[in-house]
Amino acid sequence: MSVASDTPRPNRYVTASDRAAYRPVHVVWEITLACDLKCGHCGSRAGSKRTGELTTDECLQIVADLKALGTREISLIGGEAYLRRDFAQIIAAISAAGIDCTMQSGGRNLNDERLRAAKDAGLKGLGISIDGMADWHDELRGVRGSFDAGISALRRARELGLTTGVNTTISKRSLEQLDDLLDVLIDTGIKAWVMGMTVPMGRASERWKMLIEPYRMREAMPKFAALRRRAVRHGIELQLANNVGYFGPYERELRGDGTGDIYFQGCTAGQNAMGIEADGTIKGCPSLPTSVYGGGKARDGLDVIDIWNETSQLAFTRDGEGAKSLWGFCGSCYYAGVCKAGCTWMADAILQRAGNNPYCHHRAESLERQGLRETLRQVESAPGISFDRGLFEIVVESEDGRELGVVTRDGRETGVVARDLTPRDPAADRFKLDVCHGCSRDVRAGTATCPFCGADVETERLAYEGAMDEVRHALQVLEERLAASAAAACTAPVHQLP
Amino acid sequence: MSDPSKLHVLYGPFLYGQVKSLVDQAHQRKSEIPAEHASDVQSALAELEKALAKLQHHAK
Repeated sequence: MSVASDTPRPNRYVTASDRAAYRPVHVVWEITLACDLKCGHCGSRAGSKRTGELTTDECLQIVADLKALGTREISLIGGEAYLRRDFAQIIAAISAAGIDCTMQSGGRNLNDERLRAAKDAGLKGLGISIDGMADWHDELRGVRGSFDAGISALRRARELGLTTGVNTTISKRSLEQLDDLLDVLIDTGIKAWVMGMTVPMGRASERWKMLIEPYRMREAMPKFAALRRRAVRHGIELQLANNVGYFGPYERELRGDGTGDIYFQGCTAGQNAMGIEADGTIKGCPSLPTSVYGGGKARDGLDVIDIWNETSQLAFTRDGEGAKSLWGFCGSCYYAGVCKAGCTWMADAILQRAGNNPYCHHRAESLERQGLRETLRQVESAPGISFDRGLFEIVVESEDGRELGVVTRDGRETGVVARDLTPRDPAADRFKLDVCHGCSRDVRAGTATCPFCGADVETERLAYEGAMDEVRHALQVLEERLAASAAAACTAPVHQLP
Repeated sequence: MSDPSKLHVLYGPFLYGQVKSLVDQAHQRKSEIPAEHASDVQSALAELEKALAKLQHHAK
């Protein structure tokens, strides 16, 4: 191993060339809405098949079209993907096209036969959704024993040689159970653990009180960072879904990959991500409401390539369009030029429009400095169809819970208005970020004095780079001396290191 | 050896993987290291420890 060597990135890593070409690198494909669980937070309200789900031949055509578009990973979801009788055939087609195939499942009936079929067809990795310890997971999933079934699927998949991971939705109940859950997950040998916020869509819009309040991002993000530090010692990478964020002191730690240039750069729906519903409906992200973001069905003369390239529903974040929709706090945010209000799914599920997203660590911290916090209040329930949403208001409160202001869908803000008061350096670039090594927060590129900790950004950077160079040099020396000792080991007497 | 997992704060999994791999290698092979190389390896480990401690000063 060379110290200078580069660890390979996953195929779905998005390069600058991918960004420039709007290439759908990662596709999440609901191949059926049939499901054997009854999850209380399911955005698509899965259970029965959709009307007119794609035939096997139509699925195989979509695989070919995605290959032509440059897709490098397809994640099969449902419902439960394995409830389609041809699920292994679809995996095999994806694999034969040279695209990585992974699958996300609840695992309830993922028996050995199905696992073996998926593995033999070329499945690369399996993710199981585990939302907390057994009591909460089983309650949320609506089926007693589903936690044990999920854990069993993870163990058996690993024994078969599949790389395994877990997705966990964050709610009031699960947030309290993450430490205990990590103990269980370590024992299963998973490699990745993805945290995602519960979004008030579909059935979750009816049970929206399970969500943590937006201001509790203040406690959630440090908890994720502490969990990540513990997880990594056991070979588990804790990752954040795109609806968890943003910025604050943990952005690089929780989202970075070690290169120093990875941070949240806005919703990529329709840029490098695509979602497909079981009837062929194409969206920029699998979780977005179909009624607004569905770009048409890939069948009956329309294909994925045309829908991806030509429809406005897929292009809403391209060419700077995302920045045009910003309003409210997000419109005033220090990070607006980069973040563009974070996850469109979350923002849209709350206020039925993009551009203002209260589930944000920087926002929660910024408001805390002003003695404010935000909560949600539902004002309209969801109609009860797949990927539907209700309507909420954002309530601005004092720290002791007194209502001071309200933000509504039409952009009206009454009472106290939530705004980002972070000072800006007029010479800095608002579309690019650097790290202040004084406080680990992102600052606009070219900022002289950190607006968060007051440090001289360049002085802190030089001190950090110097320390980093010393580590690199020490690693190089150790590597060379180990190599020299290995070459001499055959003949020489040995000496025990202390 | 101090816990290198804090390196995730700064440099994510790649540097962490390199540090862990080399340090583990040094400790696993310590009984095979010839006498004339033992102090070289030991001092390299100590230098790495020192450099990591300095870097971890940045890990808030």
